[in-house]
Amino acid sequence: MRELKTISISQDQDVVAARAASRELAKSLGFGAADQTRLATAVSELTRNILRYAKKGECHIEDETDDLRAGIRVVVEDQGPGIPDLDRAMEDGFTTGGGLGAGLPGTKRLVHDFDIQSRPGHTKISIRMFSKKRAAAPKALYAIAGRSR
Amino acid sequence: MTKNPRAKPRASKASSEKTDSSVTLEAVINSVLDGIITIDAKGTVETFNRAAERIFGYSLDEVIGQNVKMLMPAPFADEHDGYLKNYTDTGVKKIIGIGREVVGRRSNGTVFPLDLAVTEMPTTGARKFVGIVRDISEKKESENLIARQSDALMELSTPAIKIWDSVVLLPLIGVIDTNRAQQIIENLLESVVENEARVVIVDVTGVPIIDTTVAQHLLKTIGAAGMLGARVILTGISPEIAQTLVRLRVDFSDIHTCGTLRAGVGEALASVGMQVIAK
Amino acid sequence: MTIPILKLHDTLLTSIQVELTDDDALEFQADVLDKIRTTEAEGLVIDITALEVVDSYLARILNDTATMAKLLGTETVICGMQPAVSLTLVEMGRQLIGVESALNLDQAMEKVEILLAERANGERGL
Repeated sequence: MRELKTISISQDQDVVAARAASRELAKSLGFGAADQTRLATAVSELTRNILRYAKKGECHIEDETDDLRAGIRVVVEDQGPGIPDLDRAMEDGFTTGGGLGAGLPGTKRLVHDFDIQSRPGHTKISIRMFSKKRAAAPKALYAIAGRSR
Repeated sequence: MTKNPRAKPRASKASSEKTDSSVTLEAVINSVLDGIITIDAKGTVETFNRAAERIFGYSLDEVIGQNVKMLMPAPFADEHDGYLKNYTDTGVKKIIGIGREVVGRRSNGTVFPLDLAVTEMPTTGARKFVGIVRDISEKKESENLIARQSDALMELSTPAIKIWDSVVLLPLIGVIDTNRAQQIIENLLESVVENEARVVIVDVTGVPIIDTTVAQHLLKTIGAAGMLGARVILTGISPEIAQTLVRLRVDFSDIHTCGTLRAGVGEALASVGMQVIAK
Repeated sequence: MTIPILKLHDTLLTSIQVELTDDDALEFQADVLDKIRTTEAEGLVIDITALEVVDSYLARILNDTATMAKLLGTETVICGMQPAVSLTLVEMGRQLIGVESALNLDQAMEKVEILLAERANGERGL
């Protein structure tokens, strides 16, 4: 029931594809226009970073909707050089355009959940977006493993 | 059980004790407010307490021996057998031991929200499960009401008003937190598009505190409107606020400001080619 | 892929209708500047009504294009930005800076006229 789409990122068009796919999913799950745009933009930023700094990587788009609300998780992963000074990169006000990890604080502000792990050889950024509205009726009675109230 | 008939009082006391305790237990089960339902591994209802009768609108006889899925609306009803089988086969707990909100179906066909907690009963033989249900319709109703009122309040308190052709006024009042700031920008942009506004007056007379955060929100609001082609005039900055902003080193240099709302309105009208003339 | 650039009086008019890759965006910028040079247009209107996503890179390209056009003596107005896009850019801290904007094509053409008039009257230092 959990829709999962993986887009391999190795060229220009892939960024556009990832952007469009995340937007499509958000739209189909009932997210508003503003949230759709925020998510797509965040995905665009992150996948572009992959192209720029790691040359290639992957973008996984997952439907995390449960009984309570619609949700999307996008995980962007690469085996690149990593972000050298992660703390500084996540500091607001750090570098505008150019420079490793540029724009991360800005991207973080667009989404509801932002998790980043980076070391030389592996970077993984996970972002999540939730719909504020509760789902009209619970989707499945027992479908979510280990989910507590 | 005693063998000696002459020990009847003791036997009856013992058995009445036993009867008492089982009666007590049954009385307890039938007096609690929550529905208690037990089923076997196939989903057949074995016990159904009074509260459950009340909650679902069925009498005991109508439910005992039937499959518990009669208490569920589609599509859950169809899926329940599968879930049960899945658990009994794999032992993977998806709801067992974990409480959650689900949907039930009453005898009159109405569907309603339920809080459900399912556990497996310790038995030596066939597997049995106990479900405790609570009708949370009212609770959900209240929650929804609060959410709706909160939204309405949010919208009411951040109106963007068209005061003339192509001129929109945004009177900010009260404390601006991030949530509200978000709402404010969204409302304003919607209004700019709807009214094809060329000028927006943002009046902050009613905002008591402007710290760095609020200042940032303001700058964002102004920036966002600007990208939709609207010129923004900021009005209502008090001397105190002016001092605060400068001390905070917030850069308002690019922002056009007017001392009073009056002046702002005058300028706004002028920039759309209007002039106010005394009669 | 080439984005068509039309000329209306002294103003170049171009509308981005599809999502652009980074390379497309760069190509677009080069085309626009080239067209300005060959037509000696004094005004440039870039319509982005159809763009549902404008990320920091494209925002920068648009911004840079306007700045470059200015150096070539051309006034630029960007029109049709969707509210959701505007919201997102300010939240990211990547809004357009120093670029004139308009709600729609009509207003954009008007604005170009005003900008050119102001320049002619020496009201805006170049």
